[in-house]
Amino acid sequence: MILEEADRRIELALKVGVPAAILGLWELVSRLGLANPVLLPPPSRVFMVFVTHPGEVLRNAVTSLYRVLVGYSLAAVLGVGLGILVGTYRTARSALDVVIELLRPIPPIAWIPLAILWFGIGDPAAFFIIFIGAFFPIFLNTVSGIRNVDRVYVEAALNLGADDAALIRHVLVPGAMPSILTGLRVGLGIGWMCVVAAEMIAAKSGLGYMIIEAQRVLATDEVIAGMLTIGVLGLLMDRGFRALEGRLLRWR
Amino acid sequence: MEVILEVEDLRKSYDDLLVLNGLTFKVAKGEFFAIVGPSGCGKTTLLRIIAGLEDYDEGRVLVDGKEVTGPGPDRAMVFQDYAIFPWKTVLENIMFAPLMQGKDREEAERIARWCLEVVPGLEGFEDAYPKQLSGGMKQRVAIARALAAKPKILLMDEPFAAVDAQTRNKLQEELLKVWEKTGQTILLVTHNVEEAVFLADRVMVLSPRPAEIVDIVEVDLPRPRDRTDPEFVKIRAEILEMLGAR
Repeated sequence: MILEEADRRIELALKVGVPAAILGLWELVSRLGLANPVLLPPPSRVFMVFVTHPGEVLRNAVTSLYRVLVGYSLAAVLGVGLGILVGTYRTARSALDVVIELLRPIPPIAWIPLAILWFGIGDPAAFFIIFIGAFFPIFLNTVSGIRNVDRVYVEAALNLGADDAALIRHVLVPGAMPSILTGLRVGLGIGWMCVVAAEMIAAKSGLGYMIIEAQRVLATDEVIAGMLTIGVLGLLMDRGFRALEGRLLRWR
Repeated sequence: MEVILEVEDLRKSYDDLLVLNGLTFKVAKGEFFAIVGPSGCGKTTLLRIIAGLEDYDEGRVLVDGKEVTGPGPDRAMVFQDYAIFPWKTVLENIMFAPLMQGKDREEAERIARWCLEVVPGLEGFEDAYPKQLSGGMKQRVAIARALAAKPKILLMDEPFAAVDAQTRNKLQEELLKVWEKTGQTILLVTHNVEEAVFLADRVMVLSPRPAEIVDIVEVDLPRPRDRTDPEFVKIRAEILEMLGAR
């Protein structure tokens, strides 16, 4: 679409103006008592949470990020690794197809009760839930990426003397990389959702735990502050990943 | 004359469809050998069998006296649709075969640089990715990449079918120079009779499916050949006649 210079300015004004207007309206509704300020605190009070308890928000955010890092790393290694095997070798696909298809539709949240029984309350249960959530998109995107690599590149590589290992390293994995990275990015997003859910039930720390605890004492400003932190961190991870994708896929 | 490729009574069918009906021919070392035939006659199948990318039902295919059992760099191929790896730079593409043959990076790069000298027009594009290249440039890379494998016989499957006529003529002239410089045995499959007559020492004419050899025409004209030369035109007409295109 071709944009005139004036249109660009209007676009920018809208991008900044609409969120500002929503915040303003929210502040007003809350301040004028049109909504119960206990249930809907004004944004200024939500913001004050970051000023008055920065340590608490930061500590819980770091805890959640750490859990995602561990659970997600496991999911990335196993998801990409198994995905390459299943995408490349028919025998691996036959072996794992049914198991994966049966486990895949179970929402990660449904694993929480079992995770608590297996691992107790705390980090390992959260790692497990995040792993379950992130694994499937990573695995499935890797498999489909590998299987969609154009046959002609495989033939060219074999023709020029590649063995199985070289074929995987030089052709299948790079050819599947766009799809693998999509899987890793989607998996990270799901892992981030899972950590919050897991912490609400199966942990005693982290952002999920922070907002569920704040809810118990009706500290809605803290609930919303926690939600905003979750949102902003999720957004930053996604953007960071997209930047990485752009670098790794320069050839496209 | 040292024989590098020997095909004996080669037969191939897909299910009930007979594609190659008993082909027998030999290609000499250093020869430029072209195969022409109507589209769908099985000439690409023949090339893919020699490359080891497809199996056959009966007969024998020997390269340098050894039976073909699978794909290998001694029969490096230039594919019609380039097939250069889009995720590798030009230089990395050309280094691929030497690396696969166990050469270290330094040696592989030395071979690749030599190929870049032999195939013209790629200077300055060593670090470019294929998406930045035109069709003609991509095919130059594909030729350089195949040469880097130092094949006993270079297989080319309609290499210039996807480029415009002007680029095609230019690439043909370049290929001729590559052939003259390297002494490389080349087996070229094409449906373009003029291309075959312009380039090859001998042109094998195949019949429509199931393919049989109609004739193997010797092109005894000095190079570079003039496409308007009466002798050239005559040979071209003869082959077209055999193909039933006139």
